[in-house]
Amino acid sequence: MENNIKEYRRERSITQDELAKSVSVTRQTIISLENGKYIASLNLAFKLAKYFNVKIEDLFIFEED
Amino acid sequence: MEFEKKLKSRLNIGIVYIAAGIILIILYITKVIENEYLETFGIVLAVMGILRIIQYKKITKNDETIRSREIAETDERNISIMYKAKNAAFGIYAIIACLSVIVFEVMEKPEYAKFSAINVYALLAIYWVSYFIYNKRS
Repeated sequence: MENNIKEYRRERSITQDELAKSVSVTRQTIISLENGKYIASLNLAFKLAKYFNVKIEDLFIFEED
Repeated sequence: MEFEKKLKSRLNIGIVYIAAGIILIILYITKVIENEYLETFGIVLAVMGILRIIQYKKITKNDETIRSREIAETDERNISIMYKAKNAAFGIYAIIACLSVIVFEVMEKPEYAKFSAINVYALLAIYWVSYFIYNKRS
């Protein structure tokens, strides 16, 4: 599943560390999310969407197999 | 606050480890117990306790270090990695135990083979009981 976390983060000039602290995860989790290596849980997806003030579907791109 | 309580309980466990370790060492020195494995176990317990206390001091240095530790411990990716590692350990251990049954049988060591087989049965039994419990709960 792809996501736009990096784009939204850069748009708002936030560091990975700041974002990580805001949603209570490690910086490594943000790095993995941005690189598409890790898929966020529903809970984290909601937290991130709330943080960026966007809809979940704007942040995460759902791909059907 | 909840996490600080958790840290405090870890500190208490560390103190219990040290006390238990010292008791075992004293019992060995005074020859109440003569099993040297128990003395080694006592030393290991005491060292583990000391390490826990050092770790507690390091984590509780300031609010920032406590918060960082809390995030690291509750981070969903870390938890997911932990589950994957446990899953892999379970699978690998089961395979090794199964293979050891065959190896011990070939080596004509039936007691060891029996012990390994019991290990495999116990592992599978615990797995199915856990599966049943979690299935009921969720």
